[in-house]
Amino acid sequence: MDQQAFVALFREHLQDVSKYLVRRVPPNKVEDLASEIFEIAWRKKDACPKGFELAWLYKIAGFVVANHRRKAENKIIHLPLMDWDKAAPSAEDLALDGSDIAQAFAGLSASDRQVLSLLVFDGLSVAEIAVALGTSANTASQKLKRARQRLAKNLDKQLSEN
Amino acid sequence: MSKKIDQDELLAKLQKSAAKTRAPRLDESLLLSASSDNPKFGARRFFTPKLIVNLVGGAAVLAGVFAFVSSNNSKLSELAILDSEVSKGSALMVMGDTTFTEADLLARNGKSLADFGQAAVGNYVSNNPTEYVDRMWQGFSDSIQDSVWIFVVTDSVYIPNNPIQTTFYPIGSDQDLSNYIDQIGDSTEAEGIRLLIQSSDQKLYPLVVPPNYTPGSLYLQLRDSLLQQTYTKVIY
Repeated sequence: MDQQAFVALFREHLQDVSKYLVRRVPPNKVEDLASEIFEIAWRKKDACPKGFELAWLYKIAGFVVANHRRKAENKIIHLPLMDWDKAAPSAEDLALDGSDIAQAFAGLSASDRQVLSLLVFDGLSVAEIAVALGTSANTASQKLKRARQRLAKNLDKQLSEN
Repeated sequence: MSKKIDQDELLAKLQKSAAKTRAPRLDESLLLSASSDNPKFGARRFFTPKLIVNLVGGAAVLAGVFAFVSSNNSKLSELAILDSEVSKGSALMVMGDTTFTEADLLARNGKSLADFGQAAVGNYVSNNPTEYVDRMWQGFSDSIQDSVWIFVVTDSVYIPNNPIQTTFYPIGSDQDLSNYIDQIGDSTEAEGIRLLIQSSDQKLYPLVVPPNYTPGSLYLQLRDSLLQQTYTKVIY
């Protein structure tokens, strides 16, 4: 893929990436991180699965966001051994409105918030979520199912407390 | 997908609870810059510049500590800088004396290297375990093997103090490549010896070698070799 083809292929996803980032990092970081994402995409362009370009970009974006947060925490060396979900947006990142459902979402694990966000806010299909998470469609589907169940459970708890 | 969410009351409610956010407008120049010869960020490295210390005088010791296969491997000094002792000012890395049992080598807490590795590789965001396993399955060529480092991942990351006497060739007749790839790619419960392997281009690749007690299997070779080793902790 040459530069022209690369630009043509990813041009339509520029704003999607921007939206993905603005849900997870401060707006003033979006452009820098987007540049980083597309540079990686360029270097790894041959690995991009056809038809799943956006999901693949989100996969890269997930790592870039996680790295950005690690750096922000000054933990470059102290690498946590499991933070696949570090790219998960918080309720604050998403500017949720403080309603019961928002609080139920806030009470979820990062893993659950990540998978639900990819579906609800980033608009990916299950197959695309699988690509974004580097997992199988079946696993992604199971993760979604369990996350949704926990969201419902949190909401019930929230409602009963109120 | 939005239709599906609309049909799901709970998710629709969640979607509506989010305020509209305005994403900065990105233009095509960003793509052109990213795909140019001189991108803004450049290749990402595991070893950060601020950690680079002067290891003159310590190189010989480090070579003995870290050389996996090649004593003149140019990655020696770069690898050494991971050690916290070095970053605290010591010119020499302290050789660790950690040993492992077989149980230590296997996955813990339901996490496989598909998880640990992907996180630990940090900056290598687009590593593709499948691609790597494919190469592993086919066997390393000598040139690749000559520049490979191995990190053993347990609750931290360690490197062996002496070369690992194992060649990476087919894992065992009872293993199926696609299952194996599924296991490392998908499962957070894959059990096995977790490794990070650094290739000559400084990329770190995660790998899980599942238990396989077939005589001559990679698992047994690795296990026996690893259990005889002492290790130095490089990532906490």
